[in-house]
Amino acid sequence: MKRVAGCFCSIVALGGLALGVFMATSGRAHADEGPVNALMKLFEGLERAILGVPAAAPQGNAGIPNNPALQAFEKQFEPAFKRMYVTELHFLRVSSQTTRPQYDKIAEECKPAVTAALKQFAKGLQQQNQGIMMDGPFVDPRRTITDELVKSAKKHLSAAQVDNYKKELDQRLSARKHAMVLNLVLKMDQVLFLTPEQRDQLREVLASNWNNAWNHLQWLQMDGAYFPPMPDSKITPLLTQAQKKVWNGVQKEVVFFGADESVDGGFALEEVWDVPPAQKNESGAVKKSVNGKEAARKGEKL
Amino acid sequence: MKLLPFTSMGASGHSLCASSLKGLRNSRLLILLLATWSAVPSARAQQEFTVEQLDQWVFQQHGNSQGARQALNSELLMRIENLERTTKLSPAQKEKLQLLGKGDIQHFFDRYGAFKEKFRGLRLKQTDADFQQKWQNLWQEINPLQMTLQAGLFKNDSLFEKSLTSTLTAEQLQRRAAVDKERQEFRKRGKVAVGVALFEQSLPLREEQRRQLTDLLLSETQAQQWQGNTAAIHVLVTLSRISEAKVKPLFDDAQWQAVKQEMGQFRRRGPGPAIFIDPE
Repeated sequence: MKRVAGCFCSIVALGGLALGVFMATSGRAHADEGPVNALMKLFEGLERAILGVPAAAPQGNAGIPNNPALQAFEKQFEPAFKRMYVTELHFLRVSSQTTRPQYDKIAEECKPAVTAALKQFAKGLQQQNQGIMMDGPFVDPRRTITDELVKSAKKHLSAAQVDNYKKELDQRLSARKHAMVLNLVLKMDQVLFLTPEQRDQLREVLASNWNNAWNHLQWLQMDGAYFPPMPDSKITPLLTQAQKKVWNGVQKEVVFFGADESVDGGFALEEVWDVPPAQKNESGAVKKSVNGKEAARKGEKL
Repeated sequence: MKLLPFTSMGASGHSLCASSLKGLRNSRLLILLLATWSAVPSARAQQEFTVEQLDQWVFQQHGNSQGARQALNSELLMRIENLERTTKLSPAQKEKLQLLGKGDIQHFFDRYGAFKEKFRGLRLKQTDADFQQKWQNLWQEINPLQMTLQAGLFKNDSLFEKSLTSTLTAEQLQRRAAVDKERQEFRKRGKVAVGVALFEQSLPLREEQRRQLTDLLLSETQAQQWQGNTAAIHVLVTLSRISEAKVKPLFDDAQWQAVKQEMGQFRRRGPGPAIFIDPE
């Protein structure tokens, strides 16, 4: 009996310790999803810690079929993904001068990929909100969509059209990298008060040592002197002694930004095609597709 | 805005437990969880908030007052080195500026010190009957300290900045103004580039359009307009204040209709300088 009581006391003590740790580490992560769910998460973790119960599948309840919370996320972001898709289709159209039939085929073919991107995004967001590690690194949904558009374009467009589209996509990517490099130097300048020559040199260093971990606009929104990992061996030779001292004290860390809840998808763009003259009004103006506009606003089913 | 230092699970912990434990498989675990859970939150709620916690609330990104002091000293060091490099400061000028800069830092920490004493006197606990009211009052004093720190201690009204006109020669001041202007222009180019990148999250542009939009934003705005964090809204606000004759040709018909609709909300506010408010 004594042994049983002793064992029970040990478990209580261990439990108290573990609970303390879980409260400290998980309380904030689960605070937003309501105290009941937060508490359940803490208990589940504690149960695993004390009794050696195997960890649940990493997706949490995100993997449960007919998960209402997940479906709510999907519904919430569906209009944004539709807008995103329409703006990307338009970009494809103007970059490669697609005809209406080509456009329609590609638009139809890529719809399932957009739905899949939406589901992946919603799942990632839910896991993030539950404080669960996402299944994999967060993938920019716009990138997923353009990847699918390229695949489909290769099937339905001429080689020259595909080249034009891919060239524009590459230029967009380059512009984004240029903006990030420029702004990382700007961020460094705020801390180190660089000379114009140092700024130019650092731009070259960062551009030629590009790291995908930098490609998050969130870096530029963060207060203070937080930096992503930087190529210090190439940076420090360009700095003065005093700057080196300050730069060495700056925090440079990998930050997992996860899914961006603020994603709005884009402007409500309505594709306009030339219509036969019979559909034009007397003044020659093209009739607007009112129904199409309303559908875009409401975010009709993909 | 109501802010609580802890997650608000403490007070109602017991009733929440009852409704949450149905799914637990092990009754022994249930007992120990009830025992520990009921003890921890009430003990926590009865604890006084510490000065270390206050430090974290005020100094946020710096972690605590020591981290903030170190960051401010580094900033002062960099500011003076920059002046030394660009205006060739004399040792006497350097010493004076160091002294005044340190004075600005000390002034801030004196303000914080006085507040800290007041905080100690409050002996604030989450179980206090008037906790909410006390917390709101406290926040009224924490917020300005945070704002001062975020805005920077060496702004125009600082001892450091005000003394520059009397410390530097006319030639040095001229040189400094030129360096500052160059820095602001660099900042503007960076902010416009990221503004365009953010805009493209809403409306992807072709290379030619991107170049034209960047040129338009650079030519039609002042460096001072790109203070603070840039958001996609900055580009829309700016475009809404520029003549339509200059903006419309950047976009094709479908894009223009979408941009025009988005800009509408800003146009309704009427003409005026495009002053950006940091959304943060």
